[in-house]
Amino acid sequence: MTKKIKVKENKLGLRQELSVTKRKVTRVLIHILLWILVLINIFPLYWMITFSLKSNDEIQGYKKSADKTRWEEIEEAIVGVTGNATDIAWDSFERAIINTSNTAARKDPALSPKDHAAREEEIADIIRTNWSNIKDSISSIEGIFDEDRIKDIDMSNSDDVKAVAHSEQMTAIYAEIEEIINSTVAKEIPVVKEAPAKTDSSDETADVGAQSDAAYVYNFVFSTSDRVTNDQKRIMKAMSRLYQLQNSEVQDPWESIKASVGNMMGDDMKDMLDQPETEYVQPNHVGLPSELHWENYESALKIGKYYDPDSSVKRNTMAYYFLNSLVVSASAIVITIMAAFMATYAMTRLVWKGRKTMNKFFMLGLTIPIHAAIVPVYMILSRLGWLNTYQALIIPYAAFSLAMAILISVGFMGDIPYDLDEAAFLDGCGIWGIFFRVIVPLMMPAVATVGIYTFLQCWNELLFATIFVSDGKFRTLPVGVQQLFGQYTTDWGPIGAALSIATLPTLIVYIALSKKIQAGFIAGAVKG
Amino acid sequence: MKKLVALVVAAIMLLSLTSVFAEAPKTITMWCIATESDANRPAYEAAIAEIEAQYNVKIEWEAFENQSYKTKIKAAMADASTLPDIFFTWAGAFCGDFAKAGNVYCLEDAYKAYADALPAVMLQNASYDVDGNGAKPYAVPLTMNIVTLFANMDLLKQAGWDAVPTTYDDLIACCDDLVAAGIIPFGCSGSETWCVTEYLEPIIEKTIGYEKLNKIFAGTESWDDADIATAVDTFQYMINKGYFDPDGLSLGNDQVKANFIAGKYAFYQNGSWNCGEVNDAEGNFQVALFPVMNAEKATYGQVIGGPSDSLAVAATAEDPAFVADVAFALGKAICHYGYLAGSGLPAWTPDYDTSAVKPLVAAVADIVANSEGMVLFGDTAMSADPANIYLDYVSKVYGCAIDGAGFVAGLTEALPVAE
Amino acid sequence: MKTTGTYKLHILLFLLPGLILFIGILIAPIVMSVYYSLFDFHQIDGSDRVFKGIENYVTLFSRTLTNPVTGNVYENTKFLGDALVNALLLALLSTFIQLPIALLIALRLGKGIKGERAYLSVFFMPVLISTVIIGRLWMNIYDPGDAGILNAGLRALGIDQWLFPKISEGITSSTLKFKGQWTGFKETALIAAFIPILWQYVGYHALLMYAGVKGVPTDLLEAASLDGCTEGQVNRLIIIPYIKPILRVCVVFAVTGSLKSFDLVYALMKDTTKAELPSTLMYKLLYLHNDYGMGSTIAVILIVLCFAFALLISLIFRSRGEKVA
Repeated sequence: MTKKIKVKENKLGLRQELSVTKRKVTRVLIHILLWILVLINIFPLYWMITFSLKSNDEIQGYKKSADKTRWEEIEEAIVGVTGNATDIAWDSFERAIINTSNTAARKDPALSPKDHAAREEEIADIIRTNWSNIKDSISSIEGIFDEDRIKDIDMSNSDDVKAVAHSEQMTAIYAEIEEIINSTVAKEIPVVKEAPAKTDSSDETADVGAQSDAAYVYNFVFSTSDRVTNDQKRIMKAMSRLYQLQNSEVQDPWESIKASVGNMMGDDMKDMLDQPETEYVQPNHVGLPSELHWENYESALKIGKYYDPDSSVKRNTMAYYFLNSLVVSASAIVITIMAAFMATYAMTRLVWKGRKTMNKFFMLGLTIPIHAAIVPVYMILSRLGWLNTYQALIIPYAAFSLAMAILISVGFMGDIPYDLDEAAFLDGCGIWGIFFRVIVPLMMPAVATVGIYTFLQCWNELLFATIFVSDGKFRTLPVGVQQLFGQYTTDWGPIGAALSIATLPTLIVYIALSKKIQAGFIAGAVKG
Repeated sequence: MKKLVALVVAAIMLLSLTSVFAEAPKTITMWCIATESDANRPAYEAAIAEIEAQYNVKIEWEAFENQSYKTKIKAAMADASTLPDIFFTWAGAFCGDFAKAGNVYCLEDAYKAYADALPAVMLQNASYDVDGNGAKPYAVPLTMNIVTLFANMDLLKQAGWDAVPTTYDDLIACCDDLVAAGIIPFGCSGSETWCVTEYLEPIIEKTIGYEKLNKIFAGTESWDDADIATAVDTFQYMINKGYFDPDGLSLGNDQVKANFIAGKYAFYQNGSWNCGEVNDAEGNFQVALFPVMNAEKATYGQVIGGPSDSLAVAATAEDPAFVADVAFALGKAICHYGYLAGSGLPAWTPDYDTSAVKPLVAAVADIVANSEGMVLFGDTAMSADPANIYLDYVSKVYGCAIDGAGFVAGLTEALPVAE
Repeated sequence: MKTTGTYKLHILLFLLPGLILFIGILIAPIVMSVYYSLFDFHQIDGSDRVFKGIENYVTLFSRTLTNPVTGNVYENTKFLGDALVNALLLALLSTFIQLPIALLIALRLGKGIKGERAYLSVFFMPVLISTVIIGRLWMNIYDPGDAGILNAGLRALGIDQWLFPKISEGITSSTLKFKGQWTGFKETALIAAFIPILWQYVGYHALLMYAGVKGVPTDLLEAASLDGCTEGQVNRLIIIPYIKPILRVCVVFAVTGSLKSFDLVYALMKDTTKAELPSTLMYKLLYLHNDYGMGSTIAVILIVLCFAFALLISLIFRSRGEKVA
């Protein structure tokens, strides 16, 4: 281990001291820079792991629907905390209505985004102005909650009784309404808009006829006027009783409130009351997962383009591709090491003419781009019948790692003293004996370096693996991972987990052996 | 005693004679791309079981992944001993090359038994003139797909449209309304060139008519047509007017499709294989076709697509006539199960209960049944090299790097009329 | 040892595995590629081959082709020039951006700093992670929608409103407006693809250089500091010259690596025409177009270029008494 060079301790005068401070500052800056670089480099790892623990929805973004429809939320606001239907939380009700209308306003196709804010205010104003009206009307509906009142109106099954009760009550109510209308409508209510057309249903029963009149009055009063009078309240009250009479059951008070609110908002927005609030949750790409979905890892081991849960065939899954990659890489490493050691031995330890040229010949391999040999290697492999086998990848990988392996081995083998060779020879070892008994045991450090270099070449290699192997039976990990992003699967969480699983071994091996790896690189690079 | 022995021997001989008449099941080898997660897998499995029982054959079949299957089958063609009896193929030039090389058994005779169940037009894409005596069929279609215009009716309603526009002017008006309402009309993945062809080919077809386009793809007519240039310019006009999601330039198709299903676009034009997914998604979706651009040359009912997935019989098969018969029966069965499962549209006329089919799939099947002309997808109709040159030019179209005139001029020279 | 017949046999045996692999997979293919590049064929067994001579090479370097009969000029979609320029640009950026950063890191860590091995491990991590994964990560970064990390960051900083129109002005390949689609336009896609490529291998080069820095004899450094050299001078005059062989190796790797770069562009972009590199074009021609002749031509060109650059770089780095290669 090299000593730390303490340049800064060189105190040689004032000029040097100033530059010392400058150096201290630069040192701090460089530290900061290093930390930034560290963060940048750790980022993909962090991203991969968080990705693997998120749910599919969180990764893609999804439309989140509230559990309740808007109307149910308003109901809840009305009911408030006490659960007592009569104890109405008016403020929350008001807010709920305003919110609902704001949402509705946002969907108004005629408005540009800028005008939305203005429109929201407008609607809010309308609601506030008429809020007291609504409140009052609803208060009067409260009368319906009075059980006794309901009992008075006998809604028994007998139609005759009903008819009598209806007609009697209705006549009375209708008279009341007429009186109110006559006395107030003409005078006090300013007609702003046109009265809605009277629904013509002359061919229906008297009940319905009365209803249409009542509905007419109701609509006329509440959609045309901007002011509310006590009489309107009474009309409202009467109306509600009318409606109630016309039905064979007690009208759900909530339905009336809902109807009033709906009318407030307008026809196309009325439908929105029955739909839940939806919002589009943006995909969470970078943040931490909101919940840890560990099950993604389990599915990841099973996922693959060809995963069939019912099939007993365990092929074509991530785990399987992992094994294939392992087989291919291990075999390539073994072959490379053997071939490299043997060739290096021949070129460095044995004396013959032309061994230096042979070395240069092998070094040519460093400059040949691996992908350029695709078509011929494909032809060769196909003639040998080796396409879609393990050899299809092992042989090319070993061949392309050979040059560097020889380079590294030459460096390491040069360290072994020749005396050992001679000693072994004197002991009676032949060439092969020296090789296996002396050289190979001493080349263990090189094994690590060559092994790691070859491993890097093989494990993540994509192009050859895609083209030479088409059967899932022999597919390697990078191709499997690449195919995960094809058209057929959208399980992002397990994909992330699969990516993590694919990367984990390399990282573990690296971290565990980092000392050795770095030492190997240092030795190899220096000697190379 | 002797008599008894003789009787027993005679009985045994008789028994062995009868077993001779009970034939051992023949073995037929087959290759396909219906791997375990392919949508068609269940259809294949069911069909094969049915045919094995019906014909007393044993079908030894293997499935391979789509992209690598192409290389694999081409390699097998070179070494005919490894070719299976029945193999999956795409119609158009893919099979055509094999047929012209003499590796595929002609199905003209075997078809006769199935002529009512399979309309002749469905064999059009896999019919080739190999020996100069006219085009003959060489492959059995399975299910088919067409380019469909999916529409989100809720979004259209927001813009004030109740139905999908059927004329070009209406479409433009509808797009304008959508844009005014803040809705993006079309979603297209510009980074996947085949998705761009899903828009471009219908536009071209609706401008020049299906017969001309078929001839151009077949290489018998030149690309030099001013109408094609107009079609491309119209497409780019729509892009420049903002009718297409600008993000589409770098999005992939799966993202675009997910966006459409989530309600971001009003329209999405892509293959009918998406029907199942769209049908099951939340929302009110409908299917339609692209409107007519030039009423003199094209009609609304002309579609892009058609039978492509097919089964072919190797010329080296033992007893090819029998294998061809089995292939037809297999094709019919696969189509039957596939349609019911919603993995494609029926090329064979359904003679079974179709009520279980998903509504959107049935709607498209209806469109197909009433179609007035079909053009197979360009990248399937042409063989590898010209198809990819064509795709190269198309990819320039979406990014507006080349205009209609440039497109036509380039393709006229790059893909000249075959001699 | 005597050079007897059996001795020679033994030499051969030792060399055999290496030679078989080497000649079979590297040398023979080169020869075969050169042969194939002289033909035009689309069937894998070459049954339809047509002799073309060097026409393939000419086609690859012609931006436009001319119809011999009509004289019409049309664009050549199999043009290699743009891709080659991109690769050379990448090589340039690699050498002058990636390597200096690696050098700075190596110098800083090599001189001794707390936890230097940990730093090195972290910097080396991107090398270990598969390019497919890195491609996917950067796809998310460049996503044009609301969730794209880069665009979100720009929006948060508030400069997207100013930056995008400026970029739009610079776009000449299309009439569409730039709105954050980094991989959608030719001009931006190239840089977008380069950044992950450059980033991924910084650690690899840094490790090599660090190894070299560590190998500098300490007495040299001590002598220099005693002589009153500043740190910068020490770097420039002692360390860098000492690790020249390693720098040479790094430059060769960087340049040849750029010329053959494939994985990341393929993983990042589905339609690689916007950031074409020779390897991606070769892949397209071989696998999609089935144009084996043209594909082999690109292979030969790449091999020649790699070799030429390796030689060139060695010559540049050659100092007195040092042999080339």
